[in-house]
Amino acid sequence: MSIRTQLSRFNVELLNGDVKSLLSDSFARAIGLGVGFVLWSLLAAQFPRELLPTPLETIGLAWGLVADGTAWIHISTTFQSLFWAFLFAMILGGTLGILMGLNSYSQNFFTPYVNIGLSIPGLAWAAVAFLVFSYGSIALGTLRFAPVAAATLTVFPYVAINIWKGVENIDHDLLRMANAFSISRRRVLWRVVLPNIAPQIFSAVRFGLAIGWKVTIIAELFAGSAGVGYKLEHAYQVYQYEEAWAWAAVFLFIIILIEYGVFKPIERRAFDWRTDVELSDIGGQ
Amino acid sequence: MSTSQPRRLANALPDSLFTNRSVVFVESIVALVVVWSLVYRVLPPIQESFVSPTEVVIATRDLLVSMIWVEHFVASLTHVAYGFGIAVVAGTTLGILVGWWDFWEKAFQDYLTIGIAVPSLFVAIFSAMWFGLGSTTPAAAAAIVATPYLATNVYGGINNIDNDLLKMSRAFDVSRLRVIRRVIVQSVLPDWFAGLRYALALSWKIASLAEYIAAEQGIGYMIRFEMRVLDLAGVMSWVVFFTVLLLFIEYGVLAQIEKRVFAWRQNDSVGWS
Amino acid sequence: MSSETSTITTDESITTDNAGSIHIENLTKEFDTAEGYELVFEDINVDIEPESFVCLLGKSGSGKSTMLNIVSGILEPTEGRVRFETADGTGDVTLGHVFQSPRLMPWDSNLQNIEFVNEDNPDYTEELGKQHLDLVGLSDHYHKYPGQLSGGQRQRVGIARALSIDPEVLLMDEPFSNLDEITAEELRKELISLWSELNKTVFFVTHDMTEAIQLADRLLMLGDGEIYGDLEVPLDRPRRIDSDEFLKFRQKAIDTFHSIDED
Repeated sequence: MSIRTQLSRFNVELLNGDVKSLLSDSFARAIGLGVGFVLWSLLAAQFPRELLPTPLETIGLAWGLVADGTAWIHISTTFQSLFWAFLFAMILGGTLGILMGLNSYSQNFFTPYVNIGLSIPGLAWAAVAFLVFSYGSIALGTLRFAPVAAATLTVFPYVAINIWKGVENIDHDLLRMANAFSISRRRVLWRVVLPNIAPQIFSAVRFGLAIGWKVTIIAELFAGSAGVGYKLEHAYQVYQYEEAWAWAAVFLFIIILIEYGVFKPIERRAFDWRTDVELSDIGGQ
Repeated sequence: MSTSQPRRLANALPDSLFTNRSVVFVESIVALVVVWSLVYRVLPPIQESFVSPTEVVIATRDLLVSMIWVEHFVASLTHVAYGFGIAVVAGTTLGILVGWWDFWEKAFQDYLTIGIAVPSLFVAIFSAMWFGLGSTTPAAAAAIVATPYLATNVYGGINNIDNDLLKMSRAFDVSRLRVIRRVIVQSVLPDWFAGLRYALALSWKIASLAEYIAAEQGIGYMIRFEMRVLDLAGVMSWVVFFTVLLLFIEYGVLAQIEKRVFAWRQNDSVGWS
Repeated sequence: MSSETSTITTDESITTDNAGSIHIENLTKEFDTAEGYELVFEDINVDIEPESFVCLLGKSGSGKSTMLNIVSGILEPTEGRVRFETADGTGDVTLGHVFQSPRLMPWDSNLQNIEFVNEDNPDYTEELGKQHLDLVGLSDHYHKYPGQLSGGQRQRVGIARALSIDPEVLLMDEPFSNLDEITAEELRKELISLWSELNKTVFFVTHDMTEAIQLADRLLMLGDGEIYGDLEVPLDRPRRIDSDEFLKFRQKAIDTFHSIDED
């Protein structure tokens, strides 16, 4: 075969392979997003600005908040509450999950709590927490008791389930193998147990955060003074709809950054060798 | 030869206290109530704004007896029925599109991701802005939030179809229609059903949230009503009502249906009900 | 668990003596991979007589599954073709497949799994399905689900399913390699029983030389892109793997295998 034929074969193959599919993938995605963008603009043209701003107007509104610094204040308030709630939920849920995975008594004992916890809406916890903690006024620095308690109680069942499943599914064969080789406890924990439950830990963290920020925002309905949820609802109450859009846009932008910037890459890289997709564990509020 | 004290004590107690599931369930609930009562009694500063289990029970009983709940239960039910109904149609369709055809998968994937990531309060408030006070708001909010979840479950179900079964069907020259009906649909059904269950619970929660913000009827509305008068027991009575209702639907009705329809699954894996 | 060996008695409604022949002509298969073109085998010519039991023996990666897939019609050859002839001369052959893993639908019962592939069969009745389950020793399991069966039992259902469509040719892709040796041994004996009763043509792919010699009339050895060995297996049935003649034949096969190194 002449070099020319070989080269042309090579080119055809290259095009037939990755590049082509990459192009068509991005193409489809671009169409999907593009059509959405166009539909949005068309709809927005029909309605007054405060009901549905156009994409450009939305960006403008969002920028307004960012520029004058208000965005930062309230978003950081929300995220600080989220931080505490996430921490407590991981501790509470993680402990429960580990216990439930280890012995059946714990499993039978704690399952009702998890089931009930899954059924109580964040709104309910938020309302109760608000009334219990002196109408939302009790706080320790950045730890606002009411929103944090509400978010913790809403989130912990999801964390518990994921950790429970992880502990339950630890590969006992691997543990026995390590025992046969007399591997030290610390090494077994670090090199066998942790990688085994890593996907579930990741799941727990992911859903802990995802539900966490949703519920923290709901809890801020009652917060009285600060946080994205508060600002958004307040804007709605006083008919400043544009401001509501601004807050939504800013916050959504951050969430999308976290989703695509943090979660997706980790998901892809760390769990390439795994095939399980636990979609029924997806949480929402 | 030294047997420790706790061990001997545990041996004295009947085994069923630890092994019988119903007994443990009761222990669990009792423990919860006991701890709650203790907290109520022991922490004076909270007592002002806190309630004891007894107060909640009384408030709930009053609620049930007074029949106020009927009007609002029906209202919420209607909201959820519409919202969930729309979500089922939209979510299933979307899920099939995204699961089956590569093009739609790539085109809509981001919408699903964003749809799941959007805080539900945003959806509730914007629905309120668009549809005002009334029944449309909660129904719309529930539909909008639940759809991407159901779609993702269906999507996952389609992705997990056993390719070996499809190859076997092709080897035996089974007709396309038969393969769709007996292999593909059957394979996706469990995931779809799980998605339905989840979407229903979610619809109830979102509808209540939207009712809280902008409705004149419904469980969420009543929670706000009680909030306005700072009646914690009142709020909790409605929460209890809501939770028991949801638990009944989830575990009393849906789980039973699931167990019957998917009896064949019982044999292999243990699922989280 | 009750013993799973069965005495095979065929019902009149189960037809026999309609075996087909397989004609592999100039068969070549090449794969187009990222690293270039990969030749699996080239210019294979084999004629398989009706009612014969032929084993295709090859190690992993030799292309034996690929060849079976082409014979099955699942894969297209790069060159050449596979032709069938039936006893009634029409060439309209029905192929029965048995896979390495049973590939049963977990949501259907055993009977339903058999009924699933009998769509085009106007003669199919539930009775027929049950008879085929009887054939493989699962008379008490008509309505059980795959999840309730052991690996060996599932594979029996797979065999019953393949036989239920009354094929002229039975194609088997390492059907016993996922099972434990004891179950595999039972199933081998039953397969030979069934084959001698029903007189079908069997094309059986395996990597296990002992299994191949146990089962086949004719041994095709695939390697290096060609059939380097085509041996008649003259041993009387029932065959004992520890008998002198078996061991002698086995040595002959091994020698044939080694002869390809001397090219």
